[in-house]
Amino acid sequence: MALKVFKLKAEVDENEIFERIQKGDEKALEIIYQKYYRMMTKLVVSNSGTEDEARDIYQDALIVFWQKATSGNLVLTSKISTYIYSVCQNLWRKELERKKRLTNEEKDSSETIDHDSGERNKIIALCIDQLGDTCKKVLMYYYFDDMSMQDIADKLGFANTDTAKTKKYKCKQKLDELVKSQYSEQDFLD
Amino acid sequence: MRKPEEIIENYLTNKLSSSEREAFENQLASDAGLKSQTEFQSAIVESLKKARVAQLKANLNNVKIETPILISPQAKIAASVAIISGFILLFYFFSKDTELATTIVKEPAIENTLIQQAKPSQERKIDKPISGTITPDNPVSSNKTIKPVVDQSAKATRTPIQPIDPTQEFESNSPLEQSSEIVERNKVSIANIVAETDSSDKKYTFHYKFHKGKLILYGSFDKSLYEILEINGENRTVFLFYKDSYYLLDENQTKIKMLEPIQDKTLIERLNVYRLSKK
Repeated sequence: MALKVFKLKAEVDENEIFERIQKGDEKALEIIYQKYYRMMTKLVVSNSGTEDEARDIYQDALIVFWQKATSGNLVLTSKISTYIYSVCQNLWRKELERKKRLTNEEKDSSETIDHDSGERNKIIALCIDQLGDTCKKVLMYYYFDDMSMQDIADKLGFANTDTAKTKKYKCKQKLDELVKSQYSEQDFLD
Repeated sequence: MRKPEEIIENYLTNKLSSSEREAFENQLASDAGLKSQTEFQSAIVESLKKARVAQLKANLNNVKIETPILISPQAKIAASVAIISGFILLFYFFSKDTELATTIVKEPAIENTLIQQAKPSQERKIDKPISGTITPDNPVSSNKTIKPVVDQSAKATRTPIQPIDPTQEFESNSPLEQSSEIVERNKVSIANIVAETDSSDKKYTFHYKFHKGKLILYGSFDKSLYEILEINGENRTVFLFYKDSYYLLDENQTKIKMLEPIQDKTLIERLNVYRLSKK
């Protein structure tokens, strides 16, 4: 009897946690991270992965789960752990294939990285760093987490969705300008 | 007609309908300016995403992973290992603070010679993390004519041994609780035991007695190392370690008594921990 009550409570908690994650509550993600750490890393470690690789794969899988949840593109039909577990399996399978290819091709393909785009991405990353904290958050929540304007407003304490939209627009403009100015400077130096 | 920036943004964030998307991609193929503008925007969006992933990962890396407390065999082993390490640590600090309570004597092979191991006789206030209180075995009365006199004054500072069932103490508390409790409770001084061996009497091949506070071991102990462990708890207990076995030594045993190995596995384990931590 007591066990049943406990089980019911665990399910309720799981739904609550998922709702929090959908709204972009990172604390809830951390709870999930802690809860399933051993379970998920064991999957990789017991399949010829190192502890570091296991942690990496698990974090990547959680971020996939996070993005799908915050963007509203995930309808949970199973337990959270079941979903994350299958993502871990897929990611680790891909990583093993990648490693296998890499040893077969003797690093032939690693030379083909676009030098120009690497340089450009470095510049953009530096520009993102120069933005204010709120600007960074608004843009990241919008472009990566794919959160609704309402959720962004709620999370950052904006008055309404219009404020969030304006913020996002202005921050993006600022970033574009920063990148453009850095970019032309770079062109000028070349 | 929407602004090109807006369309680019919607294209990059997958917010175009399939027909809008198709139209835009056709436009891209013919308009080089639109193409480079889209690539520029795409690079920014990708960098923002990467920065966000890095941030999320960094946050996750700061989350402390606790070892789950499970009731599984592995967890039990892990827990007991932790408890044992705790013990070793306690003993380690203790042993750093004390002179050897363990006597290691290598006896030269000289017959009929009594060798005294002079021990530093200083006494220290010390917290002892172990209390091995042992019931002495029923004294086997040996009807020999030897009637040694025990010099009580030499050992005046000692707490006399009181027969206590050791299992009572070992079972009642978890080792960790017990040790911390004892640390608080016992402030005991250590007295050192002087040991002699006697292999002259062929009748006593593996025996002992205490005489004037000295331990006399009968038998051919000179062939191997022996160690004497003094456990000073609320009750003082002395053990002999010899050839992988432990023997209880009753300090009130003034008659020659046969040495009998201790069988209690829990006690042996604890003595092992104690002995090895001394080294």
